[in-house]
Amino acid sequence: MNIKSYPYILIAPSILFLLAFFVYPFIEVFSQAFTTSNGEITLKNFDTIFNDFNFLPSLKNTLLLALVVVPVQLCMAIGMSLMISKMKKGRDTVLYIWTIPLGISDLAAGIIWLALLDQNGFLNSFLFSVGIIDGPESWLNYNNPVAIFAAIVFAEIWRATAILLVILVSGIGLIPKEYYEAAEIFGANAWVRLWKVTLPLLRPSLQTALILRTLLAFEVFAVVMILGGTNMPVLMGEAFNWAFSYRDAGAAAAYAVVILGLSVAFTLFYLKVLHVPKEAQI
Amino acid sequence: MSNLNQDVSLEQEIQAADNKNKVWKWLFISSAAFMISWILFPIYLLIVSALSSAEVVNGWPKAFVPEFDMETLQFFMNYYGVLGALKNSLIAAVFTMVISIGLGTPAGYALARFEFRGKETFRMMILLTRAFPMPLLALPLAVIFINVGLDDTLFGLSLVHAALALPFAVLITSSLFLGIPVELEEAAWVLGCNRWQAFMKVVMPLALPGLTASAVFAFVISWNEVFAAAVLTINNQTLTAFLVQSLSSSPAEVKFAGGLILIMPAILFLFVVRKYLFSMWGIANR
Amino acid sequence: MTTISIENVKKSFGDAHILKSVSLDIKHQEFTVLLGPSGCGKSTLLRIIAGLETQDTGVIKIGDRTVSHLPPKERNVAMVFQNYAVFPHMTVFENIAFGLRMKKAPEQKIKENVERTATLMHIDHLLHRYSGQLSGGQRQRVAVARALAVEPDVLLMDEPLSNLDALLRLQMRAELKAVLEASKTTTVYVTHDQVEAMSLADRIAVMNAGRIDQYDLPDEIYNNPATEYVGSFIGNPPMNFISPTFQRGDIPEGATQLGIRPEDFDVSTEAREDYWPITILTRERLGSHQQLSAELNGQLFRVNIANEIDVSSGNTLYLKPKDDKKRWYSESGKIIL
Repeated sequence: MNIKSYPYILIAPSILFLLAFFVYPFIEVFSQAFTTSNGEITLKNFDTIFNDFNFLPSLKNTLLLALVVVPVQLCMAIGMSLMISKMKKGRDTVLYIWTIPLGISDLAAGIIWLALLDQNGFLNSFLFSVGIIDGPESWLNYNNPVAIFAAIVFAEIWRATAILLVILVSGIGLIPKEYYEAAEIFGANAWVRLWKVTLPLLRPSLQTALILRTLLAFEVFAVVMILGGTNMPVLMGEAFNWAFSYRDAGAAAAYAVVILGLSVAFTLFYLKVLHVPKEAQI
Repeated sequence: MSNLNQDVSLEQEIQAADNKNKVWKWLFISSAAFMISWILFPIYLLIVSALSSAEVVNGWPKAFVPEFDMETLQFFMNYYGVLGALKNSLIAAVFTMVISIGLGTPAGYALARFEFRGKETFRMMILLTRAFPMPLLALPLAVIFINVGLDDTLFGLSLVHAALALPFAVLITSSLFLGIPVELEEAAWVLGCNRWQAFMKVVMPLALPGLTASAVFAFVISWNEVFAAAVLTINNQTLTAFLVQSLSSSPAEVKFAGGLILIMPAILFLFVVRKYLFSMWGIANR
Repeated sequence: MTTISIENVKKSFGDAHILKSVSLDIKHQEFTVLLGPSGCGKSTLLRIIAGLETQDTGVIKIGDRTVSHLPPKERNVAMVFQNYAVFPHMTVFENIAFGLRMKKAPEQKIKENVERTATLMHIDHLLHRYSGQLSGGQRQRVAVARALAVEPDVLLMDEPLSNLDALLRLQMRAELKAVLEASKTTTVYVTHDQVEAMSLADRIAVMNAGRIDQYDLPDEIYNNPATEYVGSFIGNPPMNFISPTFQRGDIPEGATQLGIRPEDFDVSTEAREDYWPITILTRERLGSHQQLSAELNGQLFRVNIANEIDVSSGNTLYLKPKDDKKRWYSESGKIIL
């Protein structure tokens, strides 16, 4: 066998697999969204979801959630990764603890925060013991959309900051410390070094981190189901409902197209805004 | 006299700088400690809930220490459908692991060791998969699976999970193989190995810990995945699908026990792979 | 008889022609050094002999066997790599035994060979260590022992000393020379270090941009560089090349350049017949001698003179190239005999 054919033989299984389970369903999602069950081309599915009373709230909630959660997480992750880079003793332990949520699903995160914020949960028990409230009080009900939203924000920040942290820590690790020393010798203090050296050189990592995190924010689903139930519709949850509860694959596919569209739009946005020319990278 | 004054002011300056340093150090340590408890405390409280009896879980006010009562966990294990769901989660995760590592390792090796036409296109395709919300692809696949008889099967679900995990497996293994000097393989060839022998005798033993780590990663991806699992399984629910779909009907203690069971393997596995976390992400994010 | 015969070997990577038709005949038991700057193709040629790369065209023979398209394992060669390539997951013993085990040698022979070569390389006390517990120099020794243990027809070495620090390199160089002389294995050794080449080689092949400019005994390479390139690559400082327009006496036909080494001048502080008046630009005292950078009619060149001559920058000195040391080169840079 010719040695030139080796790499193709090695990647062929992956390619075939991705064609079958990435490319093909990707095309299929569009065809399902834009056809009726008889195969006619139609916009009926989009009509269905746009006219559904949950569509606009779910779009609004998803975007709002991403808008609030992602910037907070970014700032936290930058701060935490800078702290990690300054640590000597215990660095590995701290890093391990801070990245534990990486292995925790949004479902489990939702359950954890439910234990805290439930009617007879730990938060209420604490407030009761210090005398702020008189008995179990339900925060997470439909009368209190702000509380539900805040609970989801907390759970999301708790769960998904780790992924940003890991990307940024490895990005900071790639910056040679001579750059900081050079900046310091020329009189830059820590603050200036952060803005003039660290963050600019970290832009490729920031870009990856933001893309990944924002897409994950559009996929938010189980946390919301647990903490908000039906009181807080989001896009992914609606897609699930149409597919699972209403058995309407076309409408679910239409939701999927909306989410995909948002994802692509934001990815392109980040790629453009945080673009670093190849020759200007480390 | 003036000399002495200078000395005093210098001493004061040093003292001031020292104090400033101490303040910074204190601030640093306390904020690190705060972030540590921000992560750990909610997990602790989940453990407290899961290790308390049903009355305590549903009681008022809650205690902040566990009573180490196994009743809730036992109740959870005997709750209708839980054991099956747990088993299904394990099976799907193992399938996912085998498929993604089995397919991903050769591709990772090809990326690390060969120059070939189309290499960049392949790499782009791999990276591209991450710019899409992959669980969504479960929606069309649910329809397709009905047609090919894979609906409501763990194998079908693992195929979707493997599509999620495969890109990671390819990137992680390729970085692993890149980290093993090609000269080690060449030395083995010169000393009488063919390509396969050299791979098995030299590359595999060195890559094994990293391969294990990426297999664990694939396992966790499947174990944690909710959306595709909920869409694709009905009778063969995984644990995540089971918990999501019985949210309104199951009592609180079942949720908490389920939450604990869900996070346990993830925490353990992360501990096992912590050494590779960085090399995995460092390269996987290029 | 293990000779190596390389005929018209060509190799390109994409548009880069790394080897442009190389031919070389290496004699039985000879130590050949491939010498040249980085990118000249010397490592590629070595890897082609090993079978790690395949030539685009051309024939490789080891002894009477044509090995052009055989995989490395069927060529009965051994190789020492620049970064040693000592397997980190095996003990020193297992590393050295690796090649013999692949050949399914009997256990007794494996043990004998490992112990013999380990003793030879002074690492017999390290046999149960792992490579992570060894210093760079010790790893180097393991790599050489591993190569010798298989009793190869041909030993190939790719810059084996370049990762060692200067002092250790000198020591290893002397040791390698002794070991390889004793082993009598036909050896091809790649380096960019001319001193290493001069000290180790039975014969040196000087490579330049994918070609072999000269393949000869070290002294011949130094004294009679076949091309201007060889003269300017070997020697420190290298040979001077001077346009001979002001030279009196015979100039061979077609000669455009006079090649003369810095130490091959008669020196005078006073003007004499046939001596060139040169202006000294800089003077460097190097302990054993002093080195001058000088200028004559706008041409720059270097001269080594004895410490006793007292000159300084700006002075004029009178030089005459020694007649028997003059070498003449044609327009295309080739020596005229």
